[in-house]
Amino acid sequence: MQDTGKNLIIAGVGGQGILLFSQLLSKYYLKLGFELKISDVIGLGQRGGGVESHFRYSNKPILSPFIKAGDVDYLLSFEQTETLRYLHCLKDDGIVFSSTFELSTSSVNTRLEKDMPESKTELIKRFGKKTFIIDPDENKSLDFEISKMMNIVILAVYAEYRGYSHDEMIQIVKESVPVKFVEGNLKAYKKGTEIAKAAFSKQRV
Amino acid sequence: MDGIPFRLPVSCAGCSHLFITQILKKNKIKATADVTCGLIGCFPHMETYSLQKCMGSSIALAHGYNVATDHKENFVAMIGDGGFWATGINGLMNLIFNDSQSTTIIVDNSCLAMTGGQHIASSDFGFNYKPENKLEIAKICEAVGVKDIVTVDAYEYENLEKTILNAVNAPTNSVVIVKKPCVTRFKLPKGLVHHIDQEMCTQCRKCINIGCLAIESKKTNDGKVKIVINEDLCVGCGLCPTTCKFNAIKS
Repeated sequence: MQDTGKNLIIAGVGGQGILLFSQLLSKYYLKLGFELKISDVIGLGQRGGGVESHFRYSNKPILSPFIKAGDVDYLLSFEQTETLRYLHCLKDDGIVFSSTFELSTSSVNTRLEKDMPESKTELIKRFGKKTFIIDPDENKSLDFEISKMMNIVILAVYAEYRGYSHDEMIQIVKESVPVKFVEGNLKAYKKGTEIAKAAFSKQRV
Repeated sequence: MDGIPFRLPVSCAGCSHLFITQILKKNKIKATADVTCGLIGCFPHMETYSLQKCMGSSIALAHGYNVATDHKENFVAMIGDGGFWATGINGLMNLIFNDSQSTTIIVDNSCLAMTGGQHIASSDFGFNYKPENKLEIAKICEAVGVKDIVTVDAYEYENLEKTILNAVNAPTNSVVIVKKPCVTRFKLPKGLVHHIDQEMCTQCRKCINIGCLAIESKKTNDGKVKIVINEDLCVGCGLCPTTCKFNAIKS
């Protein structure tokens, strides 16, 4: 079936490269000739707050830059507490890509609030949507710092899932990332495709 | 989903505001915050400042409090450089004219840090920047008529503490200018990254109450809680070792 447009929420905490991620994706969709609307909520991202990016593409003009709750096709999250925050926005057949990375929240650190008793990864899995969990600790590599390049890893997983051209994605990464980080990012992308292939083959069996 | 913990804002690792909030809290000095990054110190996890209103109001508010209490307790005003140039300077003029004894702490980080690092009158960059037109906070304060002006570097903890206490106890009006470029805007070179020795840590949580983004309490797989310093975020400013009574934080 022809792709007529999808809604994505990209979530995480400050410094994880959410804005770069939506920039890279936007370049790809523009090349395909889609209409785009992106809205980034940065807020106090630098100071331990959450960052979210509403990303909409369609072959028809888009009116609202925000996605209404219950209308999200893909939730791409780099932090698991943030994943939980946006799970209710997903469509019934929405799909979650989430990292198990966790930046502890300041209110829990200072004991103003209690942390959730259950494991957050289990909560995400139990929510009932199609879920792909990516564990940065399991996929650690000496070639690149996965804690800083999780965005590229998830980009590769997403591209693989949607069946997008990796060559074109890599070309966009090369053009957009500062020169000294290109090499690390390409390694991260390769790792991402490996993770994706392993995960999707398991799903099909 | 219910019960997802809220993210309260905390200061960036290595921010000069952390040093000031720590000193004020330690010595139980009452203070007002202004619209700067330092207003994060009003939030319940830090609880340094007891009052915060609009941009540029802190100096005038502190002066008002001191008049009302007959200068019995020195209420300190903290203001950022952006707020100072915007409207804080009027409060300072008012304070001098009415012969107040208030102390003002001006945090000079060379940019409007809270909104993303835009240029101000005392920064070294900007759209129409010319070195000869740059303003100096110390010189303006002198021209307005402040009697006691001291400029200190934020990372010299003991010196900063001594200076602030001296200024608070002095019977005249005084300005302490705390200088340190914004860590996030100017991407300062990292110092030695600190770590916590888990055998010596007693989990008193003094270091967490600094409000630094890099210090986290993490649950391990066996359910125990560990206090750790995030290596990616720590810049090695050396503030947390000064709060640890057990010398568990090492560089």
